[in-house]
Amino acid sequence: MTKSTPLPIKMIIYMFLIVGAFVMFFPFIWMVSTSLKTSGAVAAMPPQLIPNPIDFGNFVEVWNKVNFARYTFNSFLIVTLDMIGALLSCSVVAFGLAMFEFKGRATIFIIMLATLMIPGQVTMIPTYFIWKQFGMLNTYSPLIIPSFLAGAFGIFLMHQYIKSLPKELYESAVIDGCSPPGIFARIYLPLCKPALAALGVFTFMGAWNNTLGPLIYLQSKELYTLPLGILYLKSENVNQALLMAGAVITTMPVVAVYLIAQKQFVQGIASTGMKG
Amino acid sequence: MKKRSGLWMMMLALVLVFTACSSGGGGSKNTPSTSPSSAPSSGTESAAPSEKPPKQLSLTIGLPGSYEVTKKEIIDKFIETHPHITVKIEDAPWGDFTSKIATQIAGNTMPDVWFQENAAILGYGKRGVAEDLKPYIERDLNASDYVDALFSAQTSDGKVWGIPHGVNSVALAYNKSVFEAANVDLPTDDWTYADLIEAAKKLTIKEGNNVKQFGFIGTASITTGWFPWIKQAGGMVLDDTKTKSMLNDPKTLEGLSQLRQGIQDGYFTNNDFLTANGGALEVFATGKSAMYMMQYSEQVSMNSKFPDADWDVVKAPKAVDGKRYVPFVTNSWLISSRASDDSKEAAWQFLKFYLGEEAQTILAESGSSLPVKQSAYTVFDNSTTKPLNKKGFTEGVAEGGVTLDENASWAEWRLLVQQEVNEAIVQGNKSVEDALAAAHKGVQQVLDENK
Amino acid sequence: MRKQNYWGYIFTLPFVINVVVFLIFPVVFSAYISFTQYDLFNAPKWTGLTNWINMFNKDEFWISMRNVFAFALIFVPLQTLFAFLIAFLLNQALRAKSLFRLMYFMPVVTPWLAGGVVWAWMFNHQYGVINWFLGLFNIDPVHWIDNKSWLVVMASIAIVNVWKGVGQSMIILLAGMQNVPKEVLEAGQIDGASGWKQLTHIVFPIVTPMVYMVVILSTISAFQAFDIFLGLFGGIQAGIPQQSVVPNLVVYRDSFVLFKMGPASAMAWILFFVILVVTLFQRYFEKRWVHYD
Repeated sequence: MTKSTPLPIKMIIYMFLIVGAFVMFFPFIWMVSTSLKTSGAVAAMPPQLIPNPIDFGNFVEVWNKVNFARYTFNSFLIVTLDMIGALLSCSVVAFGLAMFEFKGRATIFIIMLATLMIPGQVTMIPTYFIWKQFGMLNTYSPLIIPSFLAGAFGIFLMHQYIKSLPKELYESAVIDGCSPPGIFARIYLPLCKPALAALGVFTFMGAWNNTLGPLIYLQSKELYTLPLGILYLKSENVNQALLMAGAVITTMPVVAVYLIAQKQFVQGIASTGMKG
Repeated sequence: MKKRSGLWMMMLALVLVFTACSSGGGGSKNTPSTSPSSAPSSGTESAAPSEKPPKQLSLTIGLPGSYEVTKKEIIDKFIETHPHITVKIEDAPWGDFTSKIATQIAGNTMPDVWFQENAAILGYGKRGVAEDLKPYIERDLNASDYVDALFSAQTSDGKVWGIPHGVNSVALAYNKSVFEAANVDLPTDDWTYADLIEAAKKLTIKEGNNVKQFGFIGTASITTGWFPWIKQAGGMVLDDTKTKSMLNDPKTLEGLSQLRQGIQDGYFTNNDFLTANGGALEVFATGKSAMYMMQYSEQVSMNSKFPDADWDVVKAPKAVDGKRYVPFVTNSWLISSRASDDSKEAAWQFLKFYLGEEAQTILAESGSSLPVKQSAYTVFDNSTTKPLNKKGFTEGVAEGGVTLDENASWAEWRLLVQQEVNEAIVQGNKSVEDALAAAHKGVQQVLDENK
Repeated sequence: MRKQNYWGYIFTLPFVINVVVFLIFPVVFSAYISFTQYDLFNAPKWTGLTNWINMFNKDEFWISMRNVFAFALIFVPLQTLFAFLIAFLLNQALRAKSLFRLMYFMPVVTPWLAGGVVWAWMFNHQYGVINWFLGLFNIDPVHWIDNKSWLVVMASIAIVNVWKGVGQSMIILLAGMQNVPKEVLEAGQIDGASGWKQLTHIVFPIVTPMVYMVVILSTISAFQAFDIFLGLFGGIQAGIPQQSVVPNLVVYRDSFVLFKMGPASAMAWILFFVILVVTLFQRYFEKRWVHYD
């Protein structure tokens, strides 16, 4: 908002943002609040927003039922490798698509877009066959290797971002005697921080919340991931408070990663004054 | 152009290779064993045939819901008492087991023995996934030791695709304090559905347009909702051969209309109320509804979440023809038809153990479902947990137990009926007549396609 | 575009490997399955066009297509507009903008497990918050996701989907807005450009590549939506009324509940082509409004 924005408009904008934020935030609050309730209090009418009594019993129960330390370690291992793979491969491919003119470029771009539309539900089984042929069932390979091979979403995101950077950048670097890999690593990668941060958050979320992949590819229980372990809580006789405690636990790391990355979204070239 | 068609040929070849390996995989394992007692001839699976009998067998057991659903005690005891069987457990979360097993079946990597809903097992039987257990049962079991539900997965031509993991029947649960406060006589085993409706009206407390307390929980689910309501009026969902839809029967319409009437007039709960109040069990336990058609397994939640509720059960009410129809559901174990002969034998050893005295007693004590072995029912004689009158469940199902007209296409036609029932009963967007007419047409089509 | 074009091949190699190893076979396989009867156990049986013809003959197909188009038409503009507006406001010198950004992002991480329960409760006809609120203004309670009119149902669900997805689009746009040089904005301020003018004349053109991407992505996700339906209706087994089905729900049901991979694949691929056509249509208009610097 500019300094000259009149007060009433400012007020309206704040009102809009506050009401919106409340609507957005409410289900999360409810989730946290329910997770802290005793099973009797879950059904209490009118619903209590602040639980009375506050009960951490559900979290203790989750802790006892789920092999917590092991699963958390597994999850972080997979997610970390996935993030390294995705950030690296997607930005490389996106740079190639955005910066060079070559035969087949348009085709690759269309295929990239098309992969976003491929119906996952019917390609899942044949994909499983491939991993079975590779002898990689019950390993982390099916969960990690694809992220090193550049997913379409990441390419698209990085491509659009690189395209919106000033094109003089490349020319001046070439004049300075940089090779394309050098230009990519030294000039473009640092400039892509906001997009990389966003992609990092999305990759983390996708890998962390992926329960279908581990469910299908992993047989040994000691290889399981945390969110998959937490799905076990959802048995026949569901206790909502317990489920929400599980949901809170799986959500928290994502929130943490978002908070870490948040600063990066807004530290772009705006401050470097690249474009006069 | 030539190059391209070559590529396509290659892809097609690839497809064929993959499909071949996905379906015909394990060809040697596939040979059907005519007699289960025949000793496995050549060790197809085990690498080193052991010299000393009994031979070491390997067995993979699939456990949906892990030990939350199947008692760990049973599995541990089996492993302990069967040292010649190397057991591997493959489990998955309860609700997500279906996706996993579907993929495993396609990839031919499924366990040797696992369990799912009985209707799913019937479907597996038809597709060839499940081994016919009839010869095994005839060889090793005395059918008279078991309740009728043992044969829940039997088809009309005598094949048995599975044996029950446990039996889960319904009974009429009532909240004693609510009845006493309203001074209404408690339900009895002789009640009919007309008695239930009468009492529900008396137990309903209205404040203006708002209902404060309902008489009965009206749900749209099959087991405790539309199926028993159709049956009690003398109606049917499918005919006895399970190849014809009976949803156009006027009595079917009558039964379903009674359920809708109760909901519309406000002496049965509606879906809005149930959602807003945390679900059927909560509404019943907190006395917001006096009666509830309860499934046996729900007593576990009742006792853990609402230990102070004062409640009991009687048998599900009688139908207009004086007979009793007590719907029950089971999960059923099946043995993979593609398991090696050795593993099939090991799997049957496990199922035999599961059906034995010891395991069935553990199952009965867990309270999560009724056992199939008669002798295990003695556990209930001295039971002090609620409901005290467990005979409401056990004798009710013995007297009039019926499956939910399960057949190989149940999953498909049940969804069609459910959609229509939801529109007519839950949302009230359709008349019961229209809903049943649409369902009848759809169901008959599904049945015809799956003949 | 540069001349050392072999670099293009080198840089895009990872993706090409991805396509060759992990894409071609599943695509060809599932396309082939759409012409067969395949129950995941027995070998696929060639049935020619049967699955496709059956599909076009079913009401369910046409209803689901009608629904998903309505759903996308409501969802995509709404989500893009909100995301852009919020991203723009939260890119300003506002108090507590980090907190706002977090709160607007929260639905993205809130699982459907929780979101579905809360929204089902808010939509409740008799006891829901929304109808209670309308009641304050003497407006009769409305049936939302259980309305007789499919259009109201789709609109209600689209709104929930905006709640869920707006945070993701907001972040992408926010990242894009970092490209708008401060000097340009400051120059605009000196010239006395109003907030609105700044938005439409300076910020929007620079961010168009990202806006384009957000539009494409949300279009694809709208056509592929199904977990929101499962979340709000309580799962496939609960019986979702036919008037409210979308194509991917049918695919999900046929493949993993009924094991009819043939019909499931046919439905999945027709949906793929629909999305492809819609996206190409959007791409056709891309040059008119998207500015690549």
